[in-house]
Amino acid sequence: MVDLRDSLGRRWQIAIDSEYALCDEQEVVNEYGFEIDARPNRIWVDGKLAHAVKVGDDWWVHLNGAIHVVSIDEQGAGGTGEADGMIAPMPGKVLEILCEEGDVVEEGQTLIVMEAMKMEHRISANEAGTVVTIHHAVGEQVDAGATLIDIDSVEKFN
Amino acid sequence: MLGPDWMKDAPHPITKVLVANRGEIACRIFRSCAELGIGSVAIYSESDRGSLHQQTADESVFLPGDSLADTYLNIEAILSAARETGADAIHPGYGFLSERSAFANAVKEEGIVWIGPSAHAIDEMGDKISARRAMIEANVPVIPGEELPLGEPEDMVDELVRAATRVGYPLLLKASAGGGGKGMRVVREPRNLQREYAAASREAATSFGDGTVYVERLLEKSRHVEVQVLCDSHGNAVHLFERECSIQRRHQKVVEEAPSPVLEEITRARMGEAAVNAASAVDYEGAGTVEFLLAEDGDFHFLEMNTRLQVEHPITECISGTDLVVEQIRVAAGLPLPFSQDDLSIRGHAIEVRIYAEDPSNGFLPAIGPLALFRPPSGPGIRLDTGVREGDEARIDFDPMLAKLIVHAPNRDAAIRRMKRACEDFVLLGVTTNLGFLCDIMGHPAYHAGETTTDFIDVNWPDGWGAHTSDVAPFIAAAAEQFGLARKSAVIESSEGRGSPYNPFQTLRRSFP
Repeated sequence: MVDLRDSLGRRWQIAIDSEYALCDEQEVVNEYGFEIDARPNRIWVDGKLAHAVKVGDDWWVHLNGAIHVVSIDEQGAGGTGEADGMIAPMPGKVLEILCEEGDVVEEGQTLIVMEAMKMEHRISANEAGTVVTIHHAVGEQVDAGATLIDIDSVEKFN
Repeated sequence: MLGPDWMKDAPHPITKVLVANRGEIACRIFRSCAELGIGSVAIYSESDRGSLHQQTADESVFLPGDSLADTYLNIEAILSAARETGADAIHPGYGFLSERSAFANAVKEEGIVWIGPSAHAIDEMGDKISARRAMIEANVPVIPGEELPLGEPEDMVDELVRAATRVGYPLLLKASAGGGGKGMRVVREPRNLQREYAAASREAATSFGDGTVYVERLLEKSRHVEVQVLCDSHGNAVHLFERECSIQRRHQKVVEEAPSPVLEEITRARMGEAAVNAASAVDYEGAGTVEFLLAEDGDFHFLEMNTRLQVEHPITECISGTDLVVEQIRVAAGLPLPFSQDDLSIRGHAIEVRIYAEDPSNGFLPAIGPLALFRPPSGPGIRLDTGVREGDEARIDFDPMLAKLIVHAPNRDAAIRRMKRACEDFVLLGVTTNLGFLCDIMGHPAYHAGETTTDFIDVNWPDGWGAHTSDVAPFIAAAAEQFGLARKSAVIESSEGRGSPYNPFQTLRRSFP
């Protein structure tokens, strides 16, 4: 059994030798026939050639002129756990911080300006609230997915 | 085309070209050098060690240092690399030092042939104000706009507001020294003016070391049409027709085609003539591009002249049957153009798409990752210009453009079909790219209809673009996982640039169900 998550966030549970699989707990028919090619990264799907390569936990698949990414989902890792923070959308450098800890901010207000590949990107508050923690200083390099700022949302107080 | 003695009668014979650049354009120039029978020299920085461009050249010189200022922008180091290798000419490619007159001058003072226009032409056209003045004098139509000097945004408020009011909204703030979408901001309402001015000014200062900003009316629903010109040192000048580069995201081009799907023969002739006049006004030499905005009513305005080879030059090469790099080298050697305007005609239709490592479903943000599989399409009329190959890494250090895919076909419909097929056939896995988005552009009725205005992406995907999903992909991934395809082929650590541990002798053949 392989646990997967696709780009829409759907969770799949698939056993290749079973006639059925689960997609978000719904039963779907596994009607495909697979054959591994003698060369690396090739797999035949009902007689059509697909390419597949694994990078980290992600399977990258090319089939019928389209590219798809499906992630191996670690068993029991379920739940997305929405964080109350703003996440760096790409790796880059913090150029400017437009708020201070303790500030009350509006949803959509620009809080951080980042730079990546010589372009500026504005990171805005994803909700109204109070800035609790600023995790990075001006000039710091951040990775994609790094939490930049924690906000205590207004709604929590109401 | 050229015999072995082709350089024999040249006033400034060239035997070895150093390319002061990297990536796909360096590779492209090295290939022409090889075909011309002249030597080539690459320069490379630490992160480009072992890159395709380093390996494509006959020789290469390592430039130490971490920053661009130490390496690809380091005039002294580049000249000393030329001395060291005996290179007698320097080609700047595009970007980097290609439009720095100080570099052109330094090269010439060293007694090395500069493959590009004169420092005077670079300066005249590089400064939007003097370019504008020269164009007005040469009777080339220009867009309403004015320049603002460098200053703190607080000090600039009055002047900024006055200029903006004269020009009119919506307007565009551009770095005077800019290009490539950097330092460029759209302002639709007066209340955003100050903030965007600050951002544009800052981007301009970091990217170009010059914070001067230019305010210009934003002409919407217009098309970006540019004319390729080629001038020699004997007073001959021709145009090689137009390219339409209207489909852009964040003011960077994504799809280009030649000829334009809408230009009428009479406008083409007028625009070509205006482009030749523009180039002649600054005594231009070599290959250059005159950009115009084409309004819906057929009026066109001079935007700027790019005094270098353009990223999208291959589509012009396809339809005109020329090799622009070869012509640049010939002109720099002092040879006359081998053709006149009457010898030139448009053959078929060509399209180029830029394949970027970026996520079109998330605001086109740059993406990084390994090129775990990189299998380009092939077939008649397909060309790929790239500086990467399988196993390389898309990194954050440079522009996210991975490759240019170019097709040539007898007519526009056939070219679109060919490009769609080529994009679909491209197996590029391991890093997010815009390939799926490019396929959708090629399949879009508005593109087929030639409705390629500069707001094409916003108009046709107002809520953004989403990748197609497939219910088969999870099964393929599961099968690959269960069959141990990962172990038998390549498991690639995303942060490492290691080569894939392929073993061609290891085979596995099983089938299910």
